[in-house]
Amino acid sequence: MDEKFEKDELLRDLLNEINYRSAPLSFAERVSSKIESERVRRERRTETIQIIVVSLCASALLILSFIYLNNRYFNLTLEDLRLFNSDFGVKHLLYRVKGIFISDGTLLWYILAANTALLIVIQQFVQNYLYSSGRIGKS
Amino acid sequence: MKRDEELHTIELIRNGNLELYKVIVEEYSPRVLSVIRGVLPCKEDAEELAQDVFVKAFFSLNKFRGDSSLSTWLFRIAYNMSISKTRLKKVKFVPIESAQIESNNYFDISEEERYIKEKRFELLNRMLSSLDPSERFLITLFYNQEKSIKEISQITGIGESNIKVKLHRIKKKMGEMVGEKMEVSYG
Repeated sequence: MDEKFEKDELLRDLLNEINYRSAPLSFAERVSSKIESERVRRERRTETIQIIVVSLCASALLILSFIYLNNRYFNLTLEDLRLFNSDFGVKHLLYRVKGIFISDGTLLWYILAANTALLIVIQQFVQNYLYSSGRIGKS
Repeated sequence: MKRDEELHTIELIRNGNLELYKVIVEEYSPRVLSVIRGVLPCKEDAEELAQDVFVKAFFSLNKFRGDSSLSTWLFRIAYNMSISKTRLKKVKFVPIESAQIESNNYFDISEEERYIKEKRFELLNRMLSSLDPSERFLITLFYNQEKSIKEISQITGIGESNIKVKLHRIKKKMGEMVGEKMEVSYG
């Protein structure tokens, strides 16, 4: 029993050699700077994920809107796409597109679109003016 | 640090006080470093990994529920990270050199004492190299940190009875080496 205890103490004593009595110099500072870098890395990763999610949603929305527009107005089928290679197909397609975009009912939509575009341009001008005059801070 | 104080400090850190985290790092880093050093004898590797342990702990503080002590929780992170590092990199055992240990006043001691120290490190290296990383972690937790079987089980996720068996085997293996060597060095 004594020998066992003695060996135990010897082992403890030997392993004690690898014990650190205090933290190495500037250890905490290095940890803090790693935390900061990791924080930036995580923020960037979150931002990237957000961009990917938004892009995927926007793409899905775009595809869905194309499908909707096709079903609602164009009614293009795979057969039409095959016909697109021939002169008749192109003419036929252009005629249908013309029928959709240039008609009495579409004029209102053109006016609305032009107004929206104009508003966006005005908003950009006002924003730039306010930035340059320093009335609103840059984010 | 008392338990209540520890939990209060953690709450403040969760609310964004990074300066207080430095206090935690200063307090626990020697102990975390000691156990990691048992697994990764290369000083630079051990210090790098210990830093990563504290970084990971900082970002996982929300997961700390306070069921175990902070040291046990930190050791658990250290165990997982050091074992996966040794698995990933197939880390070779690098003998620990006595002069590398920061607590040693290696060059202030007499030649005879230095000789004994060298011999002790030789034995220590022989003992540690005969164990696998997880066994080295167990043994340092048991002897250096004086953790109970229950705490070691919480840290490593290995069952208590399994730990008892492992420790018995390790102690037997190391005990034989100590007995063998003592006859040469001190006998």
